[in-house]
Amino acid sequence: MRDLIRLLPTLKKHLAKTYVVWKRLRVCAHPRLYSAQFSASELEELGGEFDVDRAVSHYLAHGVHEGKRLCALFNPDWYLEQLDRAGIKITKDMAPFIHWLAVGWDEWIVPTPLFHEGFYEERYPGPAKAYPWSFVHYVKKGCYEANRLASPNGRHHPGGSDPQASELQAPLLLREMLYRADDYDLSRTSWAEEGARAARAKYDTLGTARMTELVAKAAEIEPLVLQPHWDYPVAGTPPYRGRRLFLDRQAEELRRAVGRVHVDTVVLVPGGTADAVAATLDSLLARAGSDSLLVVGTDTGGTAEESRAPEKAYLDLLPFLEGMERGFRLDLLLDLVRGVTAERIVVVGSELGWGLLATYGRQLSARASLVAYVPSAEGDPEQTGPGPAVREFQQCFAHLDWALVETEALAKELTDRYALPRALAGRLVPPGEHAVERAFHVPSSHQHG
Amino acid sequence: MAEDTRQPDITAILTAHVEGTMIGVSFRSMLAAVDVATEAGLDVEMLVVLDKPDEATREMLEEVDTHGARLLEVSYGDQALVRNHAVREARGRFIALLDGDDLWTENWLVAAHTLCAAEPRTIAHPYADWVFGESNSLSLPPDQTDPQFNPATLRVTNAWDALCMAPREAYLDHPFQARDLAQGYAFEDWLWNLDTVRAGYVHRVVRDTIHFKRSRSGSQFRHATANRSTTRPTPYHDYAWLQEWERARKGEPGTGSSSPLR
Repeated sequence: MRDLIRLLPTLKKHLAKTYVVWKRLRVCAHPRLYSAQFSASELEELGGEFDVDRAVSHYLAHGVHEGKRLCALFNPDWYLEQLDRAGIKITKDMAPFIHWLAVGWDEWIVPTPLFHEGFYEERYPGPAKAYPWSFVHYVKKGCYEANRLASPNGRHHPGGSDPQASELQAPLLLREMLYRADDYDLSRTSWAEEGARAARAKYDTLGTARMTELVAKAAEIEPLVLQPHWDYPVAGTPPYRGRRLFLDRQAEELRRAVGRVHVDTVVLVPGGTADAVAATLDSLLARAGSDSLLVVGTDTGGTAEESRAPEKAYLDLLPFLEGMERGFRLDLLLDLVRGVTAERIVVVGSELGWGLLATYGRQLSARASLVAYVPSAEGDPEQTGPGPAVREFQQCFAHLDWALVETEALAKELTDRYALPRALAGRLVPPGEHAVERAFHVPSSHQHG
Repeated sequence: MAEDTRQPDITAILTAHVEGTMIGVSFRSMLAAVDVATEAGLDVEMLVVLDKPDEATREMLEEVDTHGARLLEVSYGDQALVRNHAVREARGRFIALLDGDDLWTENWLVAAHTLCAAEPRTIAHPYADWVFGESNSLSLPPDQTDPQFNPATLRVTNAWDALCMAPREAYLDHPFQARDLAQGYAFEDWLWNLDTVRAGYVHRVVRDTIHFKRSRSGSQFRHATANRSTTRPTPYHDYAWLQEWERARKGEPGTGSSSPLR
């Protein structure tokens, strides 16, 4: 705290509340952003990625003098612009962030283009009222909550929750702030902040005299155009903002990571240890060969070795799915299987894979042969009935060319359960020495390609 | 009387279905924009196309000819096919589409025409899609010439509404694809955007213009979204095509001469 006292404005009233400023500083420290302003070698010398304590200490001892940024929700240039508007002076030797903590905070000056006070209070009147200043709610809670929109220009993150975000003080919008990090001086700004500025500028254009006149004329014809439900409607402003924009970046990174433009067969496995799927995967590998096959771990992450897949034929999808809501995860997987123009998509224990078949099975079955492995409940005391994947089977079977069922008994049970006609029952391939071989010879029920 | 063979600058097309009284609002919006365009010296053909209309909508449009519009009635039950039909009937150099529950700002035809006429193979979009009615939002579409615009975005999300202005041949060469919700195919405007971008058209935004889109619970877009529909298959989703395209953009050797986005 001694470091902080030296940095504070010298007026008594500021010095008197050193402890308050200290608490604010701690709450606003975002170590991931701070770490991102160091090279890998610098970080290694400093003992690795910062946590909150180390980031705060290092910032007060060094970072503040080097112009580094500790808080993702503090943009120095934006703050200085707002100060100027408010007619508040700041001396040149004063660190803007420290000034904000001591002075600007009390004046309720929002120091980032990523937060819009009016919008936030309109959308979340309850939480916002719980704090004297709604921005404090966002700093302490909202920025870690996946369902919070901070401004009319989008939520600035891909929608997935992160249960550790609050504990680690890693606001969800950091993903977007660190996008194209090499292109920005992170101590001052980021992709997200520049995008928000551009979006605000576009949005503000709607308020020009010319636009106002044109809207008024349209309203003479249809008054309903002037009846918004919200004062601050959500505005999608591609390329900077849009609900699905984060997805395009992930899709491009995924495409580059795959490194191939075509594979015959995509096998979707849960990832991690592969005991439950090993036999099926072995058969598929033997049948298809690793050159024409891509094994994708979708649910739990892991390595090729754990999944017993050849290194060159394995892809861990988890890093690309991080922080994304389920709908986006499905869409990313869809982009992958369409991208490699897979002729065969085989789901072996992958929860996301089943989701893909259930959601996009109609469209995919027109271009590819869809296949799934259906495990049995036998030997699993926690399972009863026809097996753990029966719900998924029910949703997807219409799109499948064949299903590899774990046991003969399960094949019979499914046949009886759904009163499958003989032709459809023939698509349930029970295990056996050449089950996969036999299954590949089941006539397709769909027109592919 | 001899038929006027001079090609109009623009054909403004209003499509209608079962909008009832609401269609009158859109027709008035079209008339206002046509008036402004005419004052600016543009020759505008007006086409109103009824697709499987209900009686109320048909009645509403009975007298459009007195305002100089031509009325057609078709029976497709599919917005894409209606638009294709209308474009074939149109004579204008540029086509501007308007749905039967939407509005333009009155300057739309003039401003969009200025852009399209100045730059060949340009498709003009309004500065804002202003959604009103049952929901309220704004979409400020991107300009393809914006350095930050990433064409890969179009793989995962649509960037532009179909209600734009484009050269007539853009619609003739790249007709809208019919919907097939049973098979999960919709978003014909998204697919059209992909096709036209691939063909080298440039989607631009026209400043100071707005397209007012009425949001209704029974809209086809909402049906398609709830149905988890996708676009029909397109090379735009194919890694092989994307790789070729990427190389072409970078000017790398080994790229096919037919790469459309060079």
